[in-house]
Amino acid sequence: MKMTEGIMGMSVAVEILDDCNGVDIDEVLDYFHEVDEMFSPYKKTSEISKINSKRMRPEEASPEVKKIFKLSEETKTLTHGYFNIEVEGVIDPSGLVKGYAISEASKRLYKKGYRNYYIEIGGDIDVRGLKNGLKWKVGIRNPLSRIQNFRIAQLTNVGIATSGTYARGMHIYDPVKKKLANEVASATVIGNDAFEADRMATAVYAMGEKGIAFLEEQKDLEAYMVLHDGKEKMTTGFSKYLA
Amino acid sequence: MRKYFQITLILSAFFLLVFIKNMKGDDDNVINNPLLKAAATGSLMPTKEATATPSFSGATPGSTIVSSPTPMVQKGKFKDGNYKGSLEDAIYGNFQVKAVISGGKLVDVVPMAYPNDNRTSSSINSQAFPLLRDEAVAVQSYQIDIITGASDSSPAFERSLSTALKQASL
Repeated sequence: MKMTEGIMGMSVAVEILDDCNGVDIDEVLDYFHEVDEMFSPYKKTSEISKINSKRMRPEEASPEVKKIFKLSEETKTLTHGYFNIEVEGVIDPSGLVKGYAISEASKRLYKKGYRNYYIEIGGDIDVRGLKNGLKWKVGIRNPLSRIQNFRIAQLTNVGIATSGTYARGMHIYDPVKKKLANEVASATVIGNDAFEADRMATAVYAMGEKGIAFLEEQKDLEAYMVLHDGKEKMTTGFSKYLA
Repeated sequence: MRKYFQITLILSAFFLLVFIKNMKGDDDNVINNPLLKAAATGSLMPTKEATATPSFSGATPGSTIVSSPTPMVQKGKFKDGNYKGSLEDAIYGNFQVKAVISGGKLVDVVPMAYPNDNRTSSSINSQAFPLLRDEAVAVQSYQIDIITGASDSSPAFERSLSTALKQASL
């Protein structure tokens, strides 16, 4: 069973290949709506908007929001400052909230006994198990041409996320150089779950080409980048995923 | 907050720039399953890039489609004809497409209604639509289940197209 809908202006998809109760998918979609209500910087009523407009102090935030702040701080440290949800005093946790929500939803489905499914929000994905006995085939969009030269990764039990500026204009900040990141066209990361993939895709995109060397040192994380001239760079472990 | 509102406006309009990734693989055999499963092995890379014309010319976009270097899709996976998709809410207005099937393949996607209630969304859609259309047609060349890309999306496009292709499914 598969359901798709639009949340946060992005497409959301949940597909379960095991025998499935539709209510379980509805619960995932409801959860994503809750996350959107809480974290969207584009909704006046979200806690993030309230904090940014000084209508709420960070210490008054809900436990969920506090948890995201904590994870953001950890990620900032881990990435030597390249991941930072605060730019010029404004908080935008978009660089990991999607991945976090996907991973949470994935854990919930797993606890309910599902083993073969995927969950996606706006191009960030968690895949579990197999599809028709094969690993999931995930196309990596070429940021320079929407219809050509896909790389195809064959995945199971991982998360994958891509950061780039081609879809919505530049939106990832390089907190170290203090300017919008644009050194590479896109950065795709595969990790143990969508949370790991999402936050690291954001960080290594901000790092640019040296993000490859950074992820070489990290356990269970692989990266693939497309440069502006169309060349590709990847960590040594990434190629094992490519079809 | 005005700044956020503007950013939201722009980002929301750009949500149309996406892929039809969610159309693939439905248990009830909607859309892409037949489409993707049908894709014969062959070159995964179309050799000719579609021209994404910046100006959107309504119902006559047939000439800008990818030319498939090799026949990728078995004939007869879809019934030839034109199929209207559902009318979808696309934030700035209604959005609806028509799928054009020829030789059992999706050869074109034609907008029947799209948001144009203000200049911004209208001009963005005129740019986004050819990309979405070309990508929808090109995806037949790939055997993939899901797509990862920078966060962009067009739920309205894919939902409307998926209902159209569901009708076209054999």
